[in-house]
Amino acid sequence: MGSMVGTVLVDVFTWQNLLVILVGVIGGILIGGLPGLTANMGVALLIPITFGMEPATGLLMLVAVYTAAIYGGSIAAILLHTPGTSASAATAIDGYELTKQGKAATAMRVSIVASTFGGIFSGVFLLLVTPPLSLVSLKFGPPEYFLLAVFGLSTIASISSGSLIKGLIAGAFGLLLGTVGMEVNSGFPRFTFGLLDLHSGVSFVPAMIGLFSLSQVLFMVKKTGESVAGVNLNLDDGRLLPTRQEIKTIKGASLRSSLIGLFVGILPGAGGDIASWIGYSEGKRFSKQPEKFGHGSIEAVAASEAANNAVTGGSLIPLLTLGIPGSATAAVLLGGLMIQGLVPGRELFTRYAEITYTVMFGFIIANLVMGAVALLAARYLQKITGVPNRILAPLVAALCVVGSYALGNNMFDVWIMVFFGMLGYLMRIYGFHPAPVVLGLILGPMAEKGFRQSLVLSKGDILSYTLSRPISLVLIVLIVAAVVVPAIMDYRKKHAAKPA
Amino acid sequence: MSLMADRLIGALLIVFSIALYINSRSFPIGSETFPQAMLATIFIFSVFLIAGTFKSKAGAGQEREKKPANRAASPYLTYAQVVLYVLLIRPLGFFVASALFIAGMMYFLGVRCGQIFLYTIIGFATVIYLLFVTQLKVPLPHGILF
Repeated sequence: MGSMVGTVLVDVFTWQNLLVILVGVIGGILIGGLPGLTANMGVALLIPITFGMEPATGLLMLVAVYTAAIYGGSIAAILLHTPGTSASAATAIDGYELTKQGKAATAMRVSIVASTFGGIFSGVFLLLVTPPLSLVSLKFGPPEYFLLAVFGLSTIASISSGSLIKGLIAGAFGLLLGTVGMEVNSGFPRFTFGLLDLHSGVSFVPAMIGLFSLSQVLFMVKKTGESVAGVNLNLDDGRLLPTRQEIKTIKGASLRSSLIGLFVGILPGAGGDIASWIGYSEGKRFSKQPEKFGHGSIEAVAASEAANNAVTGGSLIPLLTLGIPGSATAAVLLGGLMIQGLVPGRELFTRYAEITYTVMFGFIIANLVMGAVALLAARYLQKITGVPNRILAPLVAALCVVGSYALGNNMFDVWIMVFFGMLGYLMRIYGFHPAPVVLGLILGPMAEKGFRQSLVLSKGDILSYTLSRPISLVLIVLIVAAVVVPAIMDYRKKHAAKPA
Repeated sequence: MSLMADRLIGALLIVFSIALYINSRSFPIGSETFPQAMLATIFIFSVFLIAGTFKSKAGAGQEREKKPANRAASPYLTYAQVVLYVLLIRPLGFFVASALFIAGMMYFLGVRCGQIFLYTIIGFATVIYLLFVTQLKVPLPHGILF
């Protein structure tokens, strides 16, 4: 254990790893800060670049981008009332009120400190809880792996989409896409329609880049006719850090929201947007000055920002232990993990322990670097909100092309990306979220293997076989809950909205 | 409109699942079970999707399709440009095709300043060359020019 700590410390503090953390943090802040770009699209675009790096280095870059992009979303939320990412929507309320009152610099500092605290809090928890939790995966057999995939999909389907049915269709479609290509046992090419390039299956990274990044470009171009919403505020009030009084005010809200964010992050599928809204409303409930919420409360900014950044570490817990992402961006990160040949589960903490611990410890360092960079650059960060989509959109589209080509040096992957770009756009227009498709595509092979092995092991009586296994039973209950609870909540909401 | 869209999508998904189900009947025994189970799932939920439209008043969770302020900024026109760009990569080479695409799309989206074109294209080409060609050793396609 002692030698592992030493090795991990040496690994994290190599100049390459510190450099990728710094680059990842700056890139993440830019991605989050630009209202057209999202954390999902940023991480998806970076996977081909990290593929050529050492696994730990590449993954460190991805987690640094993830956490910094979630913080970056607060910049435009505070300065422009336009959340850079959906996770910062709650921040926009009080953050922008503070800007209107001439306190933008205070709001920025508070959001940086709360985000950093939330990120580090979740990072420490990730480091402590994940290794023992991964032991659970050792008790999993074929039926559990199948049910786990279904559970992950049902939760992400119910939360990420406005409609449960659409989410489930998207998940099943993703699992179906996972069956495209040569079948392992029979060698039979399934759903390839004579295309030799499809024999190895649908490459999930180009599909992800298309679904998240190219589709986002198509949304960005629609906003190019609008005037550029850059700001020019004086963010230099001579202070670098928040005052003692400010820290005292946000202390309780930050801690409470970090716990909320961590918990929401662990729940499969629920991301930063949900956490920040819960953090905000709970912050208001426990606040000594709840009347200030909505009118420029620094406590409110801290409550939503600590929550959304605590989601990042929380969402990595089920990802690393079971392969079930805790948020849509974590689903993209799962792709980054798999492409390095790393499969979530106990092996990550035994055979690949050095890589995994380096990434988890590096995640904490990334949050510290994020806090330092953001505090030092706070007064200049407003500049990034003024970059117009008419310049960004062509660049991101070209990056989608080069990124999807670079992975296998093949043009077919680029066409896959182009195809999924339009599919992702149409899906979003018609109320289907792309996240369940990506997750289904990645989990497809594992789900099918578990499904088929269970059929063989059960000797035809799959129901009794599955029900006789305690973990399977728990997973079935969780799947039913994941589908039924949102449906009941939806039903109640509709009925509550009806006038008596 | 959105209810009609949901009905149409549901109907298309039903046709899609039936067509692929027929296709999957030629798969060897064992290989067809899982895809068929997924197709059946899509089929059943598509029926639910259509049935739901007769009860609810609006499609759920749809990102409203706003008409762009600038007509050239149509997502479909942009998509056509991306397709053309990818088609041109082999004959023209990656860098030339990218420069043409970025310049063309920026022009369509309303950029008129020559310096912005120049800086954006040179900046993009430099970053891609340094990162992908020299660092990651990706053999980006060469065309007749570069």
